[in-house]
Amino acid sequence: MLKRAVYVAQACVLGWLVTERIWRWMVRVGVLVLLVGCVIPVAAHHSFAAEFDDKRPVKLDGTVVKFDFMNPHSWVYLDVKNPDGTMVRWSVETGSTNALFRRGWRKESLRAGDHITIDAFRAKDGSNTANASTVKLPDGRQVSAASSHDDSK
Amino acid sequence: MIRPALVLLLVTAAAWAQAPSARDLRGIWQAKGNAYRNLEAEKGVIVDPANGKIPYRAEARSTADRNFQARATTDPLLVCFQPGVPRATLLPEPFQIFQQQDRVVIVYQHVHSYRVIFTDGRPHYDDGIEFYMGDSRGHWEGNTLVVDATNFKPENWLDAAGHFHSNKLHVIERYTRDAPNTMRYEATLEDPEVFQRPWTIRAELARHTEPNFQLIEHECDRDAQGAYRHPPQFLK
Amino acid sequence: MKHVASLVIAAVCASAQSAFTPPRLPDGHPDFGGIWMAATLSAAFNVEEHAASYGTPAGPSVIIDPPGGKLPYLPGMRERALDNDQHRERDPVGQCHMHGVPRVMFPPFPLEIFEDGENVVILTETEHGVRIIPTDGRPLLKNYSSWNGDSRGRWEGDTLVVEVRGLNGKGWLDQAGNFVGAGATVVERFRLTAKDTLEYEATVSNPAVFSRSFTVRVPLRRRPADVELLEYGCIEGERDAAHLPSTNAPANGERK
Repeated sequence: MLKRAVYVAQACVLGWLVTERIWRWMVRVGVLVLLVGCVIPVAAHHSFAAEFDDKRPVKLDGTVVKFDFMNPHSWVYLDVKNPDGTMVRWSVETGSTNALFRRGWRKESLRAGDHITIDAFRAKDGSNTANASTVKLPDGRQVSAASSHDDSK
Repeated sequence: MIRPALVLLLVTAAAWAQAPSARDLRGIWQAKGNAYRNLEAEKGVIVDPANGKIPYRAEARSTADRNFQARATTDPLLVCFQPGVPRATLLPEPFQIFQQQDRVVIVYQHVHSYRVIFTDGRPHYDDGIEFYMGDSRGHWEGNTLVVDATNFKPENWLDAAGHFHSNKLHVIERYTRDAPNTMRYEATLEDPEVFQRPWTIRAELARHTEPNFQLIEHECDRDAQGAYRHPPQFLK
Repeated sequence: MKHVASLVIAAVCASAQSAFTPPRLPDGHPDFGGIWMAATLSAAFNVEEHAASYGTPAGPSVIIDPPGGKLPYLPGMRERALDNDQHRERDPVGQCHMHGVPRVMFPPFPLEIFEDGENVVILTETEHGVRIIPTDGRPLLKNYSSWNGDSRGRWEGDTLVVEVRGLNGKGWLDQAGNFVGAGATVVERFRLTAKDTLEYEATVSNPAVFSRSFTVRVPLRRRPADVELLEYGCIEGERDAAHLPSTNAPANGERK
């Protein structure tokens, strides 16, 4: 099992390297590359379980208000329309700048007005806070949020 | 008559042989003076323009004044932000310079911030990422290490008086060791969003020569209200 | 003739023993310089063998001594670790503290090592952490209490041996709440076993917490040549504290 993890980790590093090279020639969000099956765990700041509940997934379909590209976690502030028409502001945490940057994200990767969908897990404290798993971008691409979880399956 | 002269010659030669080359900036250094308090109010810090005033754009001067009024509670340094450049150099706390073949590394005692200054000619990062301590690239001009720093986060201050910058800040530093234990430090700042033109500060750095001197750990902690604070021994 | 044969055999055996010759600095010591990252990233989550759970990859024990791979806690101490595990909001790393030794050597983020003949310096991306390890024989500090300790290095052949004192005991050993406690002392050993492998071992002693000392081993793998450390400001952008149970602390990063 460890050997498999090492192989996937190596493939992940290779994929990340390729992404880094390609990024230099590309602009903005339309070309973020999917990195699936990446087993390099990225939680270093705090444990996912301390704050979020993996038994409470949520799909947030909404409009970006603000994207704060920062450490220890980047944050996407999203306006989501409820079925009854009311709007709810969600705060969604993604991975660190460093993890995202190495996957091709930049500070302009999400802009106010972008329509995106985030698969996430709710905070245990019941607030409109969540931890992102993947993000579906305006152009339809699905990308890892480099968040505090392990994608390995 | 000859013997003392010979001894003097030998001692001088030995001292000269021991002295590090002028491009050797290694060691633990600390700024003299109080520039860290207020770049404008402290005499002799701003050497260009000649009137010693930061050439703010009109609206930016108002922001600086507002910062000054609120400085006791809104200075980012109070809540343990990394100090940025050139503020980190001017703080009343030591920093240690290491030199490798392709990089110069500066470790600041203040909240253990560090900068890796690449000297192998590699380019800056693109503008898609910002750092509190900026992104630094250096090269030598004679015996002066010239460091070019970009990619700054916007929400930092330049001193304790509220002088500030945007994320368009570009700093060019010059480190010149002009004697075994002193270094001249200059920094030229430009920021088209905040300043009308570039301006330059100067400070003297002194080497720490106390035996076995070392940086000690300066780590912040949360207070009872959950805000980050510096440990008492590091409060001025 | 017999003597010559013995000498030849001895020479061949000697060269076979030292399978890897490290690159050397001008002072003759091995060059550990470069960007490194733990090969066993699961150790950051739990140094003992553990199954996967959401947010935590499975992993083997990285404890090579005692045999059996379990931390030799004194009675009552494992209960404290398990209590930590139930209260991960208390993890000091989650509060942006430096990781302490040995935890600082195996987070899932890169670290940079370089030597200059007088110091070995370890920069960690996490928490923009720093360890400056003098190798010039100077004494340790007295009455020192810190997150990352006070370290002194010396060479034993091609192995860097580092003595660590002055740890404040507040740090955790991993994300699962294992800990070393106040008064812990650590002896680390760094050795290049291949061009891209830096073997790292740490022996931890604390008679107040453990029945005997234990040793962890986590090899570090060299990162590709174009990897650079990126700044990791933590305090500036910390916004999770307000959502963690039982801390209810205001988030520092929301200042505007």
